[in-house]
Amino acid sequence: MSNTIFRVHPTINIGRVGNSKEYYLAPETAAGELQDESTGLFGGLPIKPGTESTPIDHNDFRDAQKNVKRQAARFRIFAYDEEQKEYPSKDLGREIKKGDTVNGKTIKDIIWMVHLANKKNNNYQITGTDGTEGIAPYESGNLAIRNETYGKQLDDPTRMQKLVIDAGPRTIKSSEQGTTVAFDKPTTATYIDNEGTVHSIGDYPKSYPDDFFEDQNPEAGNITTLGELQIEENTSRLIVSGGYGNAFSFKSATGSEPTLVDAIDNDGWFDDVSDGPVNAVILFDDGSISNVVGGWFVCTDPGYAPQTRNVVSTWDDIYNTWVEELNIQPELFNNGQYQTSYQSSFYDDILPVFHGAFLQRWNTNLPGQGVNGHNFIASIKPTDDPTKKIPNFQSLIRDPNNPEEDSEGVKMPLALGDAQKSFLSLSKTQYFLMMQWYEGKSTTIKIPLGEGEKLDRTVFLNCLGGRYSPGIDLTFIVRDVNLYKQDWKGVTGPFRINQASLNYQDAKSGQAFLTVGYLPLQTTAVQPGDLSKFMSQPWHTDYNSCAVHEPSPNPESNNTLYWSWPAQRPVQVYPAFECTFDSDKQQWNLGGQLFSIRGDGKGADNQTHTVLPQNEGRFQEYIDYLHNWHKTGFIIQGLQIPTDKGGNYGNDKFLEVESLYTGPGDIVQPWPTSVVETGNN
Amino acid sequence: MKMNGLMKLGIVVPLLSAGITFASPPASDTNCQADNSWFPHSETPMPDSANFSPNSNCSFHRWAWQMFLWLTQEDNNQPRFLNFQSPYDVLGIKDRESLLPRLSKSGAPRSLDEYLQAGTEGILIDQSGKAVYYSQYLNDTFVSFIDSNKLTDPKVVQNFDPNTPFPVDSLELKASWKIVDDKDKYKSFFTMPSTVFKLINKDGSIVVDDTRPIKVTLALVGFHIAGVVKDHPEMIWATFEHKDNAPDVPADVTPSQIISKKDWTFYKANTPYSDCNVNPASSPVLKLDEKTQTLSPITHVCRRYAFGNDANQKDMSVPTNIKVVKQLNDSVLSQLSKSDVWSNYFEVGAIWFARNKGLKPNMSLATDSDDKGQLLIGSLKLSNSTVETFTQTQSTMNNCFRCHNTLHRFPPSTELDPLPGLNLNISHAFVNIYFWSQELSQEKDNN
Repeated sequence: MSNTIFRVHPTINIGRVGNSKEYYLAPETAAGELQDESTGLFGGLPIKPGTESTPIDHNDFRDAQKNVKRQAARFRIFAYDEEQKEYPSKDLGREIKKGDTVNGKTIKDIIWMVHLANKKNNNYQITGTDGTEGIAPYESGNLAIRNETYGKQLDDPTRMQKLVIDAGPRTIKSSEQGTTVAFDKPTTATYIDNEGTVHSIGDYPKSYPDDFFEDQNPEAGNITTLGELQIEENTSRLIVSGGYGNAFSFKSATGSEPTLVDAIDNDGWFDDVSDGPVNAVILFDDGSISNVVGGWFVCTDPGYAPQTRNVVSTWDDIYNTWVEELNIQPELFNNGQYQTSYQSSFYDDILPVFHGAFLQRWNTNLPGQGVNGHNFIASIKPTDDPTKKIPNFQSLIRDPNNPEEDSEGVKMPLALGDAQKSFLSLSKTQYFLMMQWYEGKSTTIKIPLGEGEKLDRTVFLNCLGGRYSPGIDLTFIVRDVNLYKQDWKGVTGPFRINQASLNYQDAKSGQAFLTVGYLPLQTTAVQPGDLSKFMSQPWHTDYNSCAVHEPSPNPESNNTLYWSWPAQRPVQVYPAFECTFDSDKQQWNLGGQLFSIRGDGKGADNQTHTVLPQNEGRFQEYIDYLHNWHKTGFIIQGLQIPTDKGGNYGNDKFLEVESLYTGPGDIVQPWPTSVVETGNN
Repeated sequence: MKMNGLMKLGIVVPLLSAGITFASPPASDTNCQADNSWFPHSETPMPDSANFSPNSNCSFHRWAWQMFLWLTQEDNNQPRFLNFQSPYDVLGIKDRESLLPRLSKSGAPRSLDEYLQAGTEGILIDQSGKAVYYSQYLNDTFVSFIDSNKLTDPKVVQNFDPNTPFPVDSLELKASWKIVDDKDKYKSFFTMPSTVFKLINKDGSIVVDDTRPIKVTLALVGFHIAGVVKDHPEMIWATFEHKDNAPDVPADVTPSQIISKKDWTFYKANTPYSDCNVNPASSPVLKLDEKTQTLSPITHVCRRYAFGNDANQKDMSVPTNIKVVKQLNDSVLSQLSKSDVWSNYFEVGAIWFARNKGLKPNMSLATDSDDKGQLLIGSLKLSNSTVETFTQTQSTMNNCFRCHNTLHRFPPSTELDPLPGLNLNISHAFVNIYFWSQELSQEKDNN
């Protein structure tokens, strides 16, 4: 019992930018999973700060000034009495807090340490020199460097110093409730040494954009901080909040003005997302200490539709990688083969996928026929004969094992695919688990996860998967085994980032502390900023762009438009204010749909207006979204929208609330819509 | 020279309008002409689908035109097709909404209740703000097949041989109707007194109130014919429109381009292409004034692909098809009496399989070719501008087979059983009958 293992959970947690100082906590329930059968409340909702698990309601997305609240990430520490031998862990673990007793010793305090950075500008472009995206340029070597005028190599000292936002490490003790430790310039960098002692690094080479550049677009806000650390009231948990959605632009080394014309790679732009390790040391009353297996914080785009489950989530990609390449569950996959004796879990592996499908309607313009089909699928029960409910599985679901099906637009999921793939596919593990169910090999027993491992999984379930060009939360690197600590058995546990050991005592003023760090397919350990650096630069352009597109590659003769990431980036929405109340039935009826991004003003005066369906539902100029992103509304279940009439809008609807756009935008037409040629081709 | 069926029998039909007698031209893609036997219109024989000879594009279009003429012949004081049964009759119900038993005999006038276009639930709103209504018809061969195989029983359907197709001569038809205030203004249209169910705002949607029929005069604006001929169980899908419905869109159109400088039945002069065929079905801008029974915004219809083909496409026999349809239209219309109201309609196009006996269960028909080569032929981008107004361009819905395929179908509500992938699913009338029959059973169980 003396070898108790302590681990931070979740292994990765997600913060989201907002232009308010206030925040809510990242969700700890999964979108698409029914939380309360009596009310019909679905999971995925963030948590009201100061509460254990109270889901937010429609009033919690913005502060009193109507600014977008940030999503902060809550980290906890769990104790395990046994080394991990399998996944899920047989030892379910237990959360420990300050004041708890472990092996007869009382926890006197917990010191948390987080280091945040943004390395987007000192990285490669998402699109390679050959036009490929994602992992492909790393496989082929056809890499194009961002901000080339500042140096042609990532390890150029000028690049590492000027093009990286490095706030440095910060520490906070669980006993310091009420304290805010900011990742800004004035706050001194601090770190914990191996003895559990906190040291200040007064000359840590913190780096912010205005240290080196003049902001070319001050309207989008300066970047003076990457967020804050706080301790949750009445618990020892750490709360990490991220940036404010600001963007800072700068000239090239040759004096060229920055432009904002690309969806994902724009030289000369910083945003204030970030990522970095979350470590902790436990101090006991007898003077001893225990190191905690660390986690990771990632800050990314706002979550505009937290309850809409991605049919393919980040979890599905990570799990697929660990199943197929890291032998996490040999009873499921072993010796290069899926094991046909394995039983999938109806409630964990099957139903959530169906729920994901039926939730898509709230963020898309699916016509009634599609909605009915999804509703039907979502109504399937574990007692049903799958073959009676889905007469032909192969003609319905795209087989990820058959590349020819990548271009079959009639199969599900009906959304755009990953880099170099036309349409989205389930992960191979997902598909196998679905097939097992279809063939009668499933169970109603849920996966026996401890609370900590459940948190790990839930975070990823609430993030986008399958289509990483580059994605919204995390990207294709989650499929690279080099990202992780692969010796997961024993102390570490699975899904942990291969965190670089940083010697803060070596930090010197005027010399970049962080180096190139992790790159895909290489074994270099992961530094702060190494996860978010593969995302869009800045995030705003990608979010704006990714409404509907033609597939890429576009199958021959196709002109139909499909959604990029409908769960994470709502395109067409049902605003609550368009609903009408039926006083006889005491129920709310759906109104019409508007584009989520619909600007201000009418007709041609509206900056989102277009006559081209392929450009609908977005600002026609990226810079305008950069200045208006915070006006975008949020999608939430009707239950969480209280009203004088009928109590609330009902559990059967997921409606847009709190949009600050005043324009109606262009008319939403039901899917399918198609490309209209401009005549300029 | 190949002979058509009547010529084989030694029958030579006098061409009355010309006042002379000569042999019918064969079906030819070089010069596709009407068969002499079709005229006068009152004597057009029913096409011989059992001995259909698929030797050219022309032969398919000739079948389509001949069928149109035969179906629109007067029979029992009305066009023949109006004597056919509807899908509702097959189930013995009054209408889709009530599912109540129908008391009157089939063929008797019924109120139209169909106002939503298939697939996208769009409402075609004419220049007066009125909705266009739709009606469907099944011929005796179709109905007899359903009856003799007991296919109104869902359990039978679920166990039915998926490879069995509809028999030769089966027909399903769909007509689109515009409400007209004064039939004298619509002399070039076939018109008839009828009733439509009133539209109302209910539960956030626009629906019909099947308790409140409204007397109207209807003008036929569009007409679908789908029928099985020898070796083509997928059916020949042909469509006809009134000549004044909508302007054709130029092949290389741009969004701001004015499509026509004159008014059409469903198009206001000088409307740019970007304002054509806009479907506000899911937008809050769609409004119904229950009192006046008018909707807004008005739909401006443009026919995106004249003759159901992209004039820029040079492969898959497209240029031939365009030429053949034009030739045949000219040939037929020049031989119909100008006083014949049906001379104001034309064939937009027709589409079928490029190979014989090609229909199989679980075909998505999402593309014009498959691994064996060209699968679809004819008017590869065929839509009726009054029936598929809003899906003329989208590759996922831009011809009949995109939706009329043999994939399985999920039901409209969660309590019903899905439909397995059958050859019969090519007919949406069959698909609907399958789901409605389940709803009927539920109604009976609930009562």
